[in-house]
Amino acid sequence: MEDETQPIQQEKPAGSKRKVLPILIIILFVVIVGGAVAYFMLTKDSSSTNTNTANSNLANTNTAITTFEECAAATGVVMESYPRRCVINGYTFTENVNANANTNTTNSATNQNSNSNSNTNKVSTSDLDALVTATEQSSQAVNSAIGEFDGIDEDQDANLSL
Amino acid sequence: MKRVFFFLTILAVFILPQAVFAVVNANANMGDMVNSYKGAQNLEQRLERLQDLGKSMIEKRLQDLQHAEDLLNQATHISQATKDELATVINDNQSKLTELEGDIAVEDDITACKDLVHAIIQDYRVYIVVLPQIHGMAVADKLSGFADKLDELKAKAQEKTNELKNDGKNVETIETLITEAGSAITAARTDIDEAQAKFESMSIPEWEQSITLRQQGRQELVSARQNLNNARQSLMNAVNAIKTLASE
Repeated sequence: MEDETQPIQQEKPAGSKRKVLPILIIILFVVIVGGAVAYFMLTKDSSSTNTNTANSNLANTNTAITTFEECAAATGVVMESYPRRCVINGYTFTENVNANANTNTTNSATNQNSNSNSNTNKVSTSDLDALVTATEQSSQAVNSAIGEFDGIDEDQDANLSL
Repeated sequence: MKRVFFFLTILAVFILPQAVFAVVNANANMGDMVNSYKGAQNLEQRLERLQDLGKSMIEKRLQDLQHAEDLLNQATHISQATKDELATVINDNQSKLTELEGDIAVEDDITACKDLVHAIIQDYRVYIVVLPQIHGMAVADKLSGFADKLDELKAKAQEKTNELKNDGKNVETIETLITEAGSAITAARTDIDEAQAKFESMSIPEWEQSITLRQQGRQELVSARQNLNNARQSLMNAVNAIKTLASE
């Protein structure tokens, strides 16, 4: 009996090791992940300028989009509604399907020429709304550009003491 | 279970430290690099760290100049002559800084290397002159685009107001709002022109004066933005009044 139990007693430390090793690995993993997260949190401020730059680039790219056609060209996706619509960055542009306009698609917001040339066409309130939306986009682009201008760090050109 | 632990171990030991190292490397702080250089144990290490500092400073400048060039290329309201002039400044900086980076990398005399690193700041003034100049012009460009959109809205609002007037509606208040908007847009365009003149006057040889020009240019930009926001508010009020009148 003693011979049979002895090896079992000797395996106990080995079993403990098996339990300890995964725990150590988990602790190591948690420490490294925690360290990485903490580092990212600490360096968030210093990298915010780059993030802002990326955001402003996005805003800059979309600033020019004020028409259904521009939106469709930029996204390549239009809703199969009537009239067709295109959505970008939360802004919706509707295709102008004015019967008196030419057969090409024209935008409701910038269809000024065809409207003003036609006595029967009147300015709709949706035309005005589309332009108000366009001015809002322009305003945001200006704010973004000024933010980027203000973000230029003059201290980078301060004389170094070497 | 063993496979999961094996996977986690591989992840923890190899991948995460590399990721952290990459981020640390990318965001290496200039101040830390200067301190590291000053704390070098010997002359060889000092030279090596000075070269690293110079390389890092130049690469940051090249990256920011590239972004400025992109902004300039996107601008649609700046004259081609001005764009060409500014592009020349950027390209000149880019090529000379790249050349300087090479010089620093092969310089084996610490005193000469120090002079080259100082030259990165003193000969280029990227952050005091070049970038404020380009970014300032880019803001002016965006403001001009904003003013154009407001002019479009103003014209359309005026057109609709005329229709309502022809229908016998009283549009006096609306016309006042549209006139106010027009005045604000005109004032903003004057501010934009003045801002552009300030930024165009900035130059590397007179970099100290450029600091003042930057501040003055910024004031003009902020004033233009305020005027355009006022115009936008007047036009939005006009549009709301138009909608109300049209529904009556």
